[in-house]
Amino acid sequence: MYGLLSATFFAVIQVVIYIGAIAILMIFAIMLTRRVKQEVGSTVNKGWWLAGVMSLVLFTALVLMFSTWSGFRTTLPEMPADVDTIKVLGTALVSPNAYVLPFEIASVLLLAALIGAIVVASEKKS
Amino acid sequence: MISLSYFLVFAAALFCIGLYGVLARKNAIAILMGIELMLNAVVINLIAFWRFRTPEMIAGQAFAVIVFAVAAAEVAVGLALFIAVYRRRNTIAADEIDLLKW
Repeated sequence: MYGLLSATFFAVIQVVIYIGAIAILMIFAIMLTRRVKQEVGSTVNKGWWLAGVMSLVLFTALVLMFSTWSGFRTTLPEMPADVDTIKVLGTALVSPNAYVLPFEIASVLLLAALIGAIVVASEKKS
Repeated sequence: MISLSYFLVFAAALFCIGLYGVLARKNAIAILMGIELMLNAVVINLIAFWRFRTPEMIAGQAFAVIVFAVAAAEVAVGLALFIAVYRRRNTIAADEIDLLKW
């Protein structure tokens, strides 16, 4: 999908993040909490059909709404020539008059989240 | 030629599958995966609108990068919470974690 949108950076980063990091985290969490599986009978709630109906209704509503919008059939515009998207993105993320502040805040947020995760998940030595 | 509609419909489908997962599944990790699907749908929408509307500006991609970072942080914290809950309560079924309910 990202490749089609000529966002090559995202095509790569998606694979790296989801296979490299999040899948590993998920596997660890599932292994650590696996023993529940045996005694739980059903894996879904009592109202699962309601959830399914709601999701389907939302999907139909979204598609119907989109189809009434005039820009729905916009075809792919030409990418501006001689622009290296990855280069522009990299420069924009660290240049002071573009997005350096959100970038730094995201970094700090990630660091805080990781430290918080370690603190929450670590065992109390008592 | 590919039009914007493909991306919008695909993202809507992804979002609704994630929504179903969040609402219907009991396992807390499955709920987290559903949230991930919904966030991915949002990112695909962001990138699609960037590509179709303002391909000469980079704001859409920068925004999507930040969304990715926030998603990763959210997953890390969520999984840590589930591990802590499992250690205390010996379950991660969302309907059995009822400490706040009486």
